[in-house]
Amino acid sequence: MDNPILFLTILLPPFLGALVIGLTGRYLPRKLPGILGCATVLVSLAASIRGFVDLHHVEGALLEADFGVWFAVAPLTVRFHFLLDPLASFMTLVVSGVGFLIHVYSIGYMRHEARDERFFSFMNLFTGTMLTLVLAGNLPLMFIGWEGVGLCSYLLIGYWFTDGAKAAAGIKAFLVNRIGDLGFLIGIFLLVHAIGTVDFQALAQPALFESVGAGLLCGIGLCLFLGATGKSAQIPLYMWLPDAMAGPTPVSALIHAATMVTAGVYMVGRLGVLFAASGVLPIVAVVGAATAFFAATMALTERDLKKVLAYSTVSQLGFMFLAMGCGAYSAGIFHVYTHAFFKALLFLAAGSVIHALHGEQDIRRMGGLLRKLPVTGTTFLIGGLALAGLPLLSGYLSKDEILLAARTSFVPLWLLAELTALLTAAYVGRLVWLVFFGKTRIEAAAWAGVRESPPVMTGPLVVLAAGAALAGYVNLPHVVAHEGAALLKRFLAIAGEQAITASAAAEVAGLVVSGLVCFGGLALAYGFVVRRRAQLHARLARPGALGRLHALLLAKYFVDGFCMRYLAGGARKLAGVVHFLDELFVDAFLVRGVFGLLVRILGEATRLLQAGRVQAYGMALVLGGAAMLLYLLLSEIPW
Amino acid sequence: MLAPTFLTGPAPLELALAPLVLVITACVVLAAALFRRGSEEERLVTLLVALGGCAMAFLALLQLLDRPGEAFAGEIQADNFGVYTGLLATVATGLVLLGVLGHTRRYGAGWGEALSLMLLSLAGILLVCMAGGLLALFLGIEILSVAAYGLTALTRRRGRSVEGALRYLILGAMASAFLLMGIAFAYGATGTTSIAALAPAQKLAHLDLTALELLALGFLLVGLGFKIGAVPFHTWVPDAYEGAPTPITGFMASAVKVAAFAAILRLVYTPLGTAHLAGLQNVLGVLAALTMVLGNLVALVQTNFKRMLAYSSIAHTGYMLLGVISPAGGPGAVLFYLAAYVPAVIGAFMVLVIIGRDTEDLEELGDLRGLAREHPALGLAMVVFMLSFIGVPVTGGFTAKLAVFSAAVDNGYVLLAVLGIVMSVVSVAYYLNVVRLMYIPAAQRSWYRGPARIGERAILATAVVVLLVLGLVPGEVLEGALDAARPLELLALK
Repeated sequence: MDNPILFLTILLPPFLGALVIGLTGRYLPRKLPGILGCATVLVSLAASIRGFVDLHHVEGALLEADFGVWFAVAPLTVRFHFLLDPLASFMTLVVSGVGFLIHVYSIGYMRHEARDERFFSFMNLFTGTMLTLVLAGNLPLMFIGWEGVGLCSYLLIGYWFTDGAKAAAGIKAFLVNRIGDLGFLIGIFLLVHAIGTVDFQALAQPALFESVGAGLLCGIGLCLFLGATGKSAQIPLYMWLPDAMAGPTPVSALIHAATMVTAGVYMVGRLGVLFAASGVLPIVAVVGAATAFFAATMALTERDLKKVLAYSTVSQLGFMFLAMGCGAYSAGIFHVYTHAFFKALLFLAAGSVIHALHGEQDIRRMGGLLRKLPVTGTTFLIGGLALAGLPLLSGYLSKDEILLAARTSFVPLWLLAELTALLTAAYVGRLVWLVFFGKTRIEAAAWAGVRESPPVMTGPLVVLAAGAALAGYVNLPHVVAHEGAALLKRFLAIAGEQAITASAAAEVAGLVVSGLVCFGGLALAYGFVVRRRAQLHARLARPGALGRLHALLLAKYFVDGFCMRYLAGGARKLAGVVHFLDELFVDAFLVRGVFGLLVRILGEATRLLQAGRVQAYGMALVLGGAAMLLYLLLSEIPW
Repeated sequence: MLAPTFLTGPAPLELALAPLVLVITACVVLAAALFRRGSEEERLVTLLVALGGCAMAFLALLQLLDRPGEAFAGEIQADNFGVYTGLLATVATGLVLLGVLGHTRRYGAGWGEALSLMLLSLAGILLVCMAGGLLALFLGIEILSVAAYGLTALTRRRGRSVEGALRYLILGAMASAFLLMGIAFAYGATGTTSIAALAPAQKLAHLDLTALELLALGFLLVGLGFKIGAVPFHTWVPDAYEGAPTPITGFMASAVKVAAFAAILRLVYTPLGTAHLAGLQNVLGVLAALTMVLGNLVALVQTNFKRMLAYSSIAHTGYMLLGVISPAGGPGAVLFYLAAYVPAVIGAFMVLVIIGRDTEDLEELGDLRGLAREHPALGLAMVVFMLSFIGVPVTGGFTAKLAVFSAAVDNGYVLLAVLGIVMSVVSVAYYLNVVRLMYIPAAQRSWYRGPARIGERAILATAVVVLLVLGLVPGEVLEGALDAARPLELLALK
């Protein structure tokens, strides 16, 4: 059903907000940019809810809007076509809902900044482009949103651009994303070449792919997946996300945890039929599981509060891709949704801690903060336990579905995923303990000044904490809920999803194992971090396998060093050679030499001619005309 | 009972309404100028009258959209091709008039004459765009040319102006002779002056008119090649562009060019033209190559901004000729190219007009030095125009070049398309030189002071927005252009 008004009310307000705040924010009263920014997202949220409700009354559960032709290059016609199906509707709810809470929180977080209109303008622009990405009805339109969110991410990571390191982090994110985007683009081109359509509705027809060669199809899938790894920080393109924490914390929560980084997962779900047909799903699953595991190990030793959460995000995104790779698309999207709640909560609560400590991010210089920050601490604890997979919280339910899918498709991946879940609970336990419990390691003078954040910041925390605890109940396992089970899965009904069949006993076993793994991880953390911290440090200090492992993890497997040394170094050498060639051959020889001489001769010759007399001009006209006539006559008349 | 007009097609007078309105407005303006030549207020009023004439012509043309018809023994016809080109030329003229809104003092001498000549010229242009017969075509071309000669010589006290106009007149007369000769041969070969009926005669054993047909086409092409400014018939362009007052140059580079391309497209895509299409394509292909190479290379060494833009306009003629010789998709691409070229060229000349407001016409490249630092908005607009000339993505120039070059490739002119792309790369040097000059500091500040006037702002903003729209969302306009030109293509592909 066509409903252009609905789409306009979802999409336009954030863009308008970005424009108005960006252009006039300087002249507005101090607090107005923030309030305006929240208001526009609230309008989007209301419209998204309306769309969600409408969807239940529409035949085929599909709303669409067409705003004319964008470009037409035969045989391809790309239109401004948006569609709202259950999957898109669900994502718009997450984006605008969580986005709204984070906008509200930002009013409090940014209040010490002299000016914040640039911040809210970018945040609104981000929301608008992210909604474009989600609602796009074809790949090029999605690519606009895709590039748009990348741009906003870059702008906001480098928000404090006078700080060189932060600006550099923005550039790193942008560059790494370029590689993925290039893959995405090539994937689109290959798709046009192979099939000739880029419309999502057309691409949901499995019959479309039958006539395409397996190799080409696999190439398309791989290129598109490369795009997904860039945006969603998976191996090999994950390095930018930890650095992206240089941006303000609400940015980390909105862009680098809840929404943008899940765009890759969303894209795989959108193109579910294509991915299933292309045969790259096993690769998706392996990459996801491997990323989940390695990122979790790195989170174990990280000392920066936000970076622990960043590695945890990378790891959780890995879980989502594992689900996608197993064909359990709805499980992946389910985890996107629960993760949006608890990870946004964790980041915002972390932001509240950092805010209270005036910028301190090193967890070795925290501790005991629960007493000083009761609301922040409690909500962080809830978010952390949801992330660790404590039974009955949202993360437990969504992660369990992924583990079930992994177990039914490939057992080694399942084992790796369970191990990762164990590590997850362990690093969450470590983090929570070091920040909020035990004796404080903050100096007494600073300790006295620690204050809980204002209600405009803690309010969103409480709402998100409720979400982190309860969000999972929309998608309960069969064995528990019987008829009411898997509501979300049935609602989403993603095309290309593979059915997962498991007996009741298997489901129960999975639930029990997940619970045990969580408690096991927490127990590990308790054992090493709380009880035997001194012994652990002593062991690590001594040379040995454990010490070396610790050093390896602290250095993040030396990946950044490797990239700088070999990739960046190689590129620099290549640039040197090219520069030399350009200077010597192109500039000096071609441009200034051969070509320059030619131009000068021609130019002077024409100048002489042009300076000249009208007779010469007339002669040129007549001679040229005569030559033309002669040619025309000679070419067709046999003499 | 009379049926409503939209069922029967437009009435004869309706078809001729737009040129008629313009001629009448021109007479009114001229009469006013004869009897009252004086205050600035009076000049402003005449300008508004002229603008009103343009607006009425625009509406009259708009009425004819999607309502094909012909009248006056087929000499005037309305099809979407003619209406689109006519609308484009009218809008271009209106923009130029809007641009001189704040310059009543500066172009004081001959104000009324200039306005009426421009309106008359536009009437001729519309006649060319909507010509259904060779006579109307010739009439239109003469009206627009004679008016253009006068416009070029407008600033009589400047030697270059008169010199350029005189050259233009002499060479233009020669070109008209070629054109008339072509029309005569065409009538001799086919027995008709109707463009649509211009078809090769039945071949008989004792009578082969092929030579006559070829002569007709050849002469016509020389005459029109002169009007579009293709090498080697381009020699008048730099002198006339440099000699004319800058707003007039903008008018000649936009509206007049539209008419010339409308005429050449109409004549190549007649049954007569398509019967000898291979030969015409070869000839015009060579002209295109020469035009692109010479226009771009000579533009590189110019120091005068107006002369540089004159050679750049020659270069763009070359690119568009690629579209003319590509039957599948080419004519539509040329229409789109014109739509993207017109705002950029008017905008570029208008920047020149604006900065010279308080002095006299500034036209050296050096005059632009430091402009963007003093007037950031003007500088930015100029950057957009230059980028569009180059054909950088997100500007209309990119889409236009893409359309023309891909049409050329589709029709097998790969080498010419590559040459066009290489020449576009060469053109980066002189277009970006303008940008470079604008952003380096300068000591001299001879250009205008104070804020830009409303008409000037309106023009520049319109031009920039149109260029960005054509670059970002060209879909509907491109389809409109391709649809309008489809009848021409069908004729060639038959």
